[in-house]
Amino acid sequence: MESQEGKVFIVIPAFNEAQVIRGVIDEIKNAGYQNIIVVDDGSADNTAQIAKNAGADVLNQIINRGQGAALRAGIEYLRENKNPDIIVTFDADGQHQVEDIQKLIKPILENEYDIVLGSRFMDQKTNVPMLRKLILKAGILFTNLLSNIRLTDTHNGLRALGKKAIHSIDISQRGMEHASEIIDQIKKNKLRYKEVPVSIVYTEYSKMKGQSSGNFLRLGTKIILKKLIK
Amino acid sequence: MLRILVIIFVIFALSRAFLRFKDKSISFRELLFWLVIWTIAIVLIFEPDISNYAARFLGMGRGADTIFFLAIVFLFYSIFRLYVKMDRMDKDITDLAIKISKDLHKEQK
Repeated sequence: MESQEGKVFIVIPAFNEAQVIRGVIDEIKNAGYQNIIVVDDGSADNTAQIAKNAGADVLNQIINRGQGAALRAGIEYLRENKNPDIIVTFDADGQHQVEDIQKLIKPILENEYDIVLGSRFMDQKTNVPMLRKLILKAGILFTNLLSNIRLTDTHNGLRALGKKAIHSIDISQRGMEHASEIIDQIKKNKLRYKEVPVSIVYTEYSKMKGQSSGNFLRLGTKIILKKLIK
Repeated sequence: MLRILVIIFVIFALSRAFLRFKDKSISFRELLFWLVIWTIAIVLIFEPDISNYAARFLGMGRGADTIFFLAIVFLFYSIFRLYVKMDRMDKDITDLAIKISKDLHKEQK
C-alpha cells in the first residue's frame, strides 16, 4: 500500500481483546493494509502477544489509560517515527468493516479532505439497537451543540486522518471523551472534514465490550465540566 | 465541654500542619493559611459574638449562619481545587504512560 497510495497506517487501540484481535488483524492484512499498529492498553490478557504474532507492530501501555490515550500513543509514535500520509483508527472488537477503510481514505488521497469520519447513521445498513440509538442520538445532539459542527455520528471510532490532521490534532482526553475532542479540533484547526457511511456490526461480543449505556451520562457531565474549567 | 473538644481538635490540626510544613510537604503560605483559619476558629469559640458583625456585614441574620455559609463556600472551592489538581495528575500519568510505551518500543528494536 505504499507505492501510489501513500503510507497508510491502521491504529487499533485494544483493551482485553485477545478473543478477537487476531481475526481483526488478519482481515485488515488480507485487505492489503500491512502497516498495523496495535496499542495494547494495559490488557490483563495476552492481547499484545497475539497481535504481535499476527504481524502487527505493538505499542504497550503499561497501565490502562483509556482509548483516547491509546490513540494518542499510536498517533504520536507514527508521527515521530514513520512519517505517515494517512492514519486510520479502527476498533479492535470487530465492529468495523475492513471494506470501509477504502471509503475513508479515498477523499484524503484525492486531496479533498483532511479528515474523514465514519458514520453509521448516513444509510440504513447498520442496525443499531434501540437504546444505544437513543443514547447515541442524544450524544450527537450534545456534541454538535458544543462544537458547532454538524455531524450525523460523533462517536464512531472509525476515521481517517490525513497529514494536516495527523499533525494538528492533539488528543488530551484519555477516555471516550476524545471523540468529542477530535471534533472540537476539526473546528479549531479548520480541517476540511467529511462523513462517509460505514456499517457497524453489533455482535454479542462487541455489545458486551462496548460502552455501557449509563456511562454516557457520566461522559456528558465530564465534558461539560472540562469546558467550564478551561 | 464542646469548647474543650474543639480546642483539642484545633491543636491537633495545627500540629499536623506544622509537621507537614517541617517535612516540606506544604509551603509556608499554606501553613500561614491554616494558622489563620484555626486562629479564627479559636477566637470564634471564645467570642461567638464577633461572627454577628460579619453577619451584619454580609447581610445575614445570625453569626452562626454566616459561619456555615463561609464554610460551605470554602468547601466548594477546596473541591474545585482538588478536582483541578487531580486532573493535572491524571494527565501527567497519561503522558508518562505514553512516553514509557514509546520508549519501550524503541528499546525492543
